[in-house]
Amino acid sequence: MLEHRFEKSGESAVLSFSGELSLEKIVEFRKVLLEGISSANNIVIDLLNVDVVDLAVLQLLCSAHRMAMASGKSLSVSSYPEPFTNAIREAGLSSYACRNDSWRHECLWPEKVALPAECR
Amino acid sequence: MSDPAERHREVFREEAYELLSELEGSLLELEKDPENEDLVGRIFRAMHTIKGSGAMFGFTSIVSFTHDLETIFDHVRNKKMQVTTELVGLTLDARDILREMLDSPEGAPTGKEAGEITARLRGLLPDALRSWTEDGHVGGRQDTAAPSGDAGKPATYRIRFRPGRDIFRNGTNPSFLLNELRALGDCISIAQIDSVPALDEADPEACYFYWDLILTTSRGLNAIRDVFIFVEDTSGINIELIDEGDLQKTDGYKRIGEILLEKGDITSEELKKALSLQRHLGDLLVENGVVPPGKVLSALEEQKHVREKRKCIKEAEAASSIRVPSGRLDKLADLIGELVTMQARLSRLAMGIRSPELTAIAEGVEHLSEELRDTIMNIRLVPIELSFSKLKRVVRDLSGELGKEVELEIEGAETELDKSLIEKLGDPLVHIVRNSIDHGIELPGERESMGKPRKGTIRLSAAHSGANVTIRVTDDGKGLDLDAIREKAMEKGLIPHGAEIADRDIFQLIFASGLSTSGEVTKVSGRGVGMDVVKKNIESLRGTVEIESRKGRGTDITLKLPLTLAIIDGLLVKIGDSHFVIPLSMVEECVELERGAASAENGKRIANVRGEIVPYIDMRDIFGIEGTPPKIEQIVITQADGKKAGFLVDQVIGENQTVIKALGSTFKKIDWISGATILGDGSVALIIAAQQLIKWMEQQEIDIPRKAEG
Repeated sequence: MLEHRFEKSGESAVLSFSGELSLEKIVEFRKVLLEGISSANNIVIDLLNVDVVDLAVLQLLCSAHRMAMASGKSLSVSSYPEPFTNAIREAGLSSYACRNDSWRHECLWPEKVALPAECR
Repeated sequence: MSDPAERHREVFREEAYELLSELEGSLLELEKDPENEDLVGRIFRAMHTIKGSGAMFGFTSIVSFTHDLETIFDHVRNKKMQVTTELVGLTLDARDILREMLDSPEGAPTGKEAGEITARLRGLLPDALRSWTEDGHVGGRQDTAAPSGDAGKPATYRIRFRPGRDIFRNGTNPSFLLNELRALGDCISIAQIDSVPALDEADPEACYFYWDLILTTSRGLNAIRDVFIFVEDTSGINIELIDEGDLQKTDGYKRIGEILLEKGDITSEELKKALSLQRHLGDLLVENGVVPPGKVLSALEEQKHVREKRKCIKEAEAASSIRVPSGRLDKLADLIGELVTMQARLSRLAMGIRSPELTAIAEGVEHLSEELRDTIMNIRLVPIELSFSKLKRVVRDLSGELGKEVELEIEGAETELDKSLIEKLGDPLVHIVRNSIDHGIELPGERESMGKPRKGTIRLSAAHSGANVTIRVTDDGKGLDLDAIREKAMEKGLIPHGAEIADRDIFQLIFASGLSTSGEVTKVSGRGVGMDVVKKNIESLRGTVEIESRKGRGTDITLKLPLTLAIIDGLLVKIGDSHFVIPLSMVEECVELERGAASAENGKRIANVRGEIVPYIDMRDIFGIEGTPPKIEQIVITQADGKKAGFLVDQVIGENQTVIKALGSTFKKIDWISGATILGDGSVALIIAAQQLIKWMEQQEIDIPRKAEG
């Protein structure tokens, strides 16, 4: 069972997740994200309390970001706990930050995980 | 050796000799410390390097033999096999065979012997591992070293890994594969996200990511392929070798456009168009939607990675050493010798002309040539460790052969000495150590009955003292039997019957040719040849040998050698019109002697130096120089072997950088002249071998009192 909370205030919605976010819960995760995007214009994903993040989850966050961008909405991640930054590094996604601003729309991944020393 | 191939083979040989001595040292240490994984690793690496470089230069039989050895040690490394004395012994034998193979013209196989050793090593393998292939090689995984880009040398690969969409459903996590690749070397991974669809179209259990990786590894292509072994049927895997760590190509790396074009991420038209706009290519391509950012990132990372790697290689290469044939260093030392002579002439000329400008130049040249001299001497210095580690093997083999237990302790192995001296020192040291084991150290039972530990100790130590190096070989064996030596020497007529001879001089008799007190002649020693050769060898290096011994307690042999053979600091003196050089390292002080104040007792010349009686030699007499000596003469006081002796000369000129030139064979018999040097004015000065002259004086029955102890 996916542990999450959905808080909406005006145009914004905060989706908080906790516990294990992985392939086993990916179908449910997609459903929650879809609901979030359809219900607000600014979607903030809070991962502060997650213990595990895997590749399938990262991929789906990327996918959600694309959908939000395509429909003129914003989607961001508000906190970067260690399991999340580790997963980004492991997946080879850390190079996406710290680049030219014009690429930013492609990039969900925060600058703070993109330090070269941490990337490798 | 003008043939480049032969030159390379020669370099390989030199490197292999070094690796073999390292191998020997590590094996001997491993025998004492069989659990030490670092040592096993070192042994394995030495074998691996010999094999790898041997293959490059066509030493096929060496490669094949080392491969077998390497495989055995691979089992040791993987803890499938234990280190035993037998394993170490056989591997040491194998090392000797490799050495012979290297010495033979084409690394020729010694066939039977090598086969015998591998067969015996095979016998040590646990049953489970004893699977030998038909060609006689040890079974198990084989590193197929060879063409460029394969195991051994670090190379950089560009990998694109596009997993099948179902990879998650099939139970494989691509992260694990990425981590496996990272474990192979220095790896950069960039996920490509351009295939990820918007959430409403995405299948959450499908894999849309794919990866570009840049990996620098020395493990070879096969190791990379192995990572993908379970997914290769369902995934797209493309591996390209992009950099072989080739030093010829240290000039940066490809441009971003080239990389993208090479990978097929853009077409040449797209490249041309973007380039014509004169902006950062990556930004342009991304902004215009030609490529997704991931592709540019991957190209940028690749460029950065390879440039960094090349820089690292270049820096490492620059910081490491270069191998130079010692003959070239000898030549350089010779030339610097000539330069020193020239500089002396220049200084002399400058003094004569009294031109301040020329004097300044001459002083500058003098300073530079001194620095050059010190630098070349330093380059030629190598740690004595090489000689010492050879002795570890001697001790191990000989003590085993004689049934004795001997521990070799080494101190000061880092002490440096001229390379040519180290080479010439090898044999004398082996002689001394063999003698200590054969004559000195008692059998274990015998030692116990005398209350000594079962295991005897031979202690080798080296240390610098001034311009000399002192090497001591000490054992705790039975010591020298003074009475036996005295008796034997009388029997041989070396000393007159009933003569009163000091212990110290009796000890020196063991260096006399033909004297052996050993009851039986063993194959090790006892023939009376050896110690006299040791002494001759050491003296030919302008060194001395001293011996101290206490019966039942052990023997202590001290060798004292000059740091270098080619140039010394000398004291230039003058008698009449002739110049002589006395090695400065022996000179204690110079005192004036007024003619008439000299006293001669029973024909012996002695001087009173601050209350101490010092005998001296009148050089004018010795060399038969005619003419009248000045009113005030100088005595150069030297000290050697704890004895002081003076040399009476007309005038002390001063310090002199003395380039030693050997004298022709005509002068070989005069052992108290060690050579000659050319002075600034082109004249020749003889170099006095002070110790030998003192000894000669002693033989002329001039008594030189020993300096009081303390």
